[in-house]
Amino acid sequence: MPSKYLNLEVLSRIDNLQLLAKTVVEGFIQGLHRSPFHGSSVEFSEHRQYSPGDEIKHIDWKVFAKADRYYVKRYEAETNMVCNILLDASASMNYKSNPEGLSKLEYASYLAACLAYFMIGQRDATGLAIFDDKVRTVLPPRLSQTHMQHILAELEDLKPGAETNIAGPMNALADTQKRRGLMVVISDLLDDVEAIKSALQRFRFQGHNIIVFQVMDNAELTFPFKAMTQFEDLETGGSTLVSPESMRGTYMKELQKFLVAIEKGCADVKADYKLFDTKTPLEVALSEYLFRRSQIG
Amino acid sequence: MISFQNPYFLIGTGAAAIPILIFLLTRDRIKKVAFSTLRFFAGTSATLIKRKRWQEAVLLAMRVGVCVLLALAFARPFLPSPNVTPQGQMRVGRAVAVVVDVSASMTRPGAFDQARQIIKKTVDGLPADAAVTLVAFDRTPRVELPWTRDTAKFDGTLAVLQPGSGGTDIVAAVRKADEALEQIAADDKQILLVSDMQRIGWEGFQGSWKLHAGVTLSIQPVKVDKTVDYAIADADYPQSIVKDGQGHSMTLRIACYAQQAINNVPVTLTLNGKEVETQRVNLPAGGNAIARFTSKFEQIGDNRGVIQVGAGGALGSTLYFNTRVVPKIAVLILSGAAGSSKADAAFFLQTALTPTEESPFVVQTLPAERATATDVAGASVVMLADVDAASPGLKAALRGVLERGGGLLFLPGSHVTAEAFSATFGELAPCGLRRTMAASETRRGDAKAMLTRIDYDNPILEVFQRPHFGDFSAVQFERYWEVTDSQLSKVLARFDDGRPYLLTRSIANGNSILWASPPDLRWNNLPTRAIFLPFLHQITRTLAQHTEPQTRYFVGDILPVPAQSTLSDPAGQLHKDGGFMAGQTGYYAVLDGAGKVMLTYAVNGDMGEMNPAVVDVAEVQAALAPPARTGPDIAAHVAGLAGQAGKEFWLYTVAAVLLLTVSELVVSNRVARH
Repeated sequence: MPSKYLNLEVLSRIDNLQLLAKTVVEGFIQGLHRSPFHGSSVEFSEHRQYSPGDEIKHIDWKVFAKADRYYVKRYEAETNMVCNILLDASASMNYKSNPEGLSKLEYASYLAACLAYFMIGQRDATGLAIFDDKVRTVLPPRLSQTHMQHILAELEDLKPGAETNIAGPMNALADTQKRRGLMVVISDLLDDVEAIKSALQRFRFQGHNIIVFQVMDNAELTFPFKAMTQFEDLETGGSTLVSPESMRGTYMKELQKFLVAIEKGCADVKADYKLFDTKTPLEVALSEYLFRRSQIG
Repeated sequence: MISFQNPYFLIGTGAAAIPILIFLLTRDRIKKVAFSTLRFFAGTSATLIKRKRWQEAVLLAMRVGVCVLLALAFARPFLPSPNVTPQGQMRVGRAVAVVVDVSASMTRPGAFDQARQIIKKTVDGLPADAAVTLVAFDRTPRVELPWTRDTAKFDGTLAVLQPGSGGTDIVAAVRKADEALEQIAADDKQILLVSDMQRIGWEGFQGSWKLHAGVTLSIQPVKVDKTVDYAIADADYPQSIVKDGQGHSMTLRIACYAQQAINNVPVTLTLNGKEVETQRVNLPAGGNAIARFTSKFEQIGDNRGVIQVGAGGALGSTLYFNTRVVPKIAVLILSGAAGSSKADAAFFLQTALTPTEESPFVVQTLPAERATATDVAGASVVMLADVDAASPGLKAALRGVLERGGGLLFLPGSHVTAEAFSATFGELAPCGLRRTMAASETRRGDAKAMLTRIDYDNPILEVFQRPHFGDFSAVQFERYWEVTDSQLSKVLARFDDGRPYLLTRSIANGNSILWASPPDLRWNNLPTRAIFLPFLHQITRTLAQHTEPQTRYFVGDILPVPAQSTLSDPAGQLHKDGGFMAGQTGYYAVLDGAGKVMLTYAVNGDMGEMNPAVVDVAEVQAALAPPARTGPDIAAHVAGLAGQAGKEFWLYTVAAVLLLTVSELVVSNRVARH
């Protein structure tokens, strides 16, 4: 499966974390999110007395021969999680401070690809939704290698879009996701905090579990600029002339205020929250997340 | 409108581009950065950015200013004035340097008044754009009034100017005026020389100097009908002597300037306030007469004397002199020969210097190895007989004798080795020694060496030129030293083979003499010849004579005044230590701290100053005429010191550079670079 998103080195590292991943993945996919629904599976679960409407093919004729009553077999479903990866492809996600490094969008794409790979590897139906100020692409959750290829193809063709408007696309997606599952939001979340919180709240009301990956560039977190700089907003096109040395204090204060508000909003809606730095190696971020998720239990 | 002395330095203003380039290359370029959001830039201070921009602009302006001002400073800006050249010289249409004679001859009745009238007439006729300077001269020229357009000021200076007692040096005066003309820019430069044009003030000129190009010399001679009939033209008298109870002669040459002979002119010698003798001389018309006095000087120390020609009061008829008498000359004989011998040099020296108790010498004889610096300290003359070794302390003491004006007499004999002598006394002796020679080496048979080529013009030997004063031909030499390294010495007598016998060398303030054959009977028969004693006495006196200070001076000379002492001039005015220029004739007394007279200087006017012989004006003008002008007077444009106005402007510019530099340092230190 040659794809730029499934970096062999990354995957090999993750595979090397098999001991941890086995526990984390099971907890993440099955243990923590064991489905209450029974479905089509090869693994027997229990018998139930036949009632009209049940399919005749599910009647256990051996039990009928012994007990002279009709019972039907029930099977425990092996795949019981529906995962949706909601990837923000707004213009602000296209920022990267290091020309040789990854933009936030690229980093988020890697992260989404890895997650999808793991999820499908765990036989979870995985869907992908890409949005900016509206939903641009929706791949419904499915469980097949072919679907995985579709996801990766979408991620490879990903281009930054318009302004961030997280609330609108998320509300629209909420309308289509009737089946409860896991919502993984990957975004820089540079939007109104209350609107984001409101959208997440709606997912929560629908019974979804939510994980929020906030992706930020290292320069956005540390503001390392020195020379007089005219900053241009990637989304609005607006600009401002800043003397970074005199501005740094204000910037960092405002940033911390924003991050705290995001984290608090996620906590309010019982969403898991993790801040990623694009300078952080991807595999470390995944490992750290999986480890943290396992601890949550 | 500002002009520049060195306009080429204005190219340096291009250096102003350097800080601009540096600023452009290193300035805070506004980088455009596409950023994810501007939501965190709340409160960006536009004022702060503007202030930073302004400070950077100020800094740049300061740096540019420093470069421009530096270039300006080197270009030497000045504010041109029609009256000042770029070099700061006064600019006039005509510059006249008035040179007026204030020598003693100008004290003749009517002479200086006539000079004043000539000068005033000339100055009054000058145009408005003319400047004048006044140079007065006798033997020494001096600028009495710098360049000025103020004729009233000039007249005031001229009015108080009076002739003195000095001599005349016409060329020095014209030269001084020529130098003054170099300090002014003028289309017409002229020197006006007003003098009685005495030939004596012109005779020393060798024709080696000319006026600068563009300078014209105009001479207005002062005509004096009435002159003195006679005056003292020359005088010879002893300045210092050793008390010997004998008479010493004083000779006076009196010149007669009258058209007719003057007979029976009294010449009177007064010594220490007492009239000693009066002679009468006959003065031939236009000729000279000699008056000679012989007098004993009994008084230890100063003996003030006056010789008056005629009735007194006439110009140039009085001679002041002072003859100092010292008790005896202290002579130290250092002997290098072991033991005493009645044939060696030390013995004969001792015997010859103290023939009687009346001897003018006090002699002490010591073995050289026992002599100390203390022994040498009191001696005026040290004789080293057969000595080739001396301790460092003794050598320093011998050097001290020379520095005091005393003398050393080297008499190397049999105990001396050439190498040791040269090594020890190389810096003090007139020469080194190479080897001893026997007379027979260069002569046939038993022939002895004789003295030839004796320099009777030298003061030491001059006396022996006269009949009956001695005969060197009676002296025969069997052995003598061949000398070497005598380049700095003067040979006063040679052996008949040409090798030097008597050598002298001036060292510090004294003299060093070497005899190549000592007064030793094993070397020669000099000790037994009649000439030995006067020869030795003459040399000893000569070696000692410089230990006494000079007492003979002329008007215009600087009289030395020792530290902690004062000088009393003929008018009784006191002057502090250092030096004082004698301005009048008579006695100047050096007084110690207690006011006691230590020494008297006798100051006279220049002899011959009354000589009425004049030099032809045309001769002077022709001799001093400048070379033909072949091009522009480059020196007038290029040379010269920066004038006051330009100098001040330059200083202001440099001060501005310094101020800007300091300000730049302060501001740049306060402004954050980013």
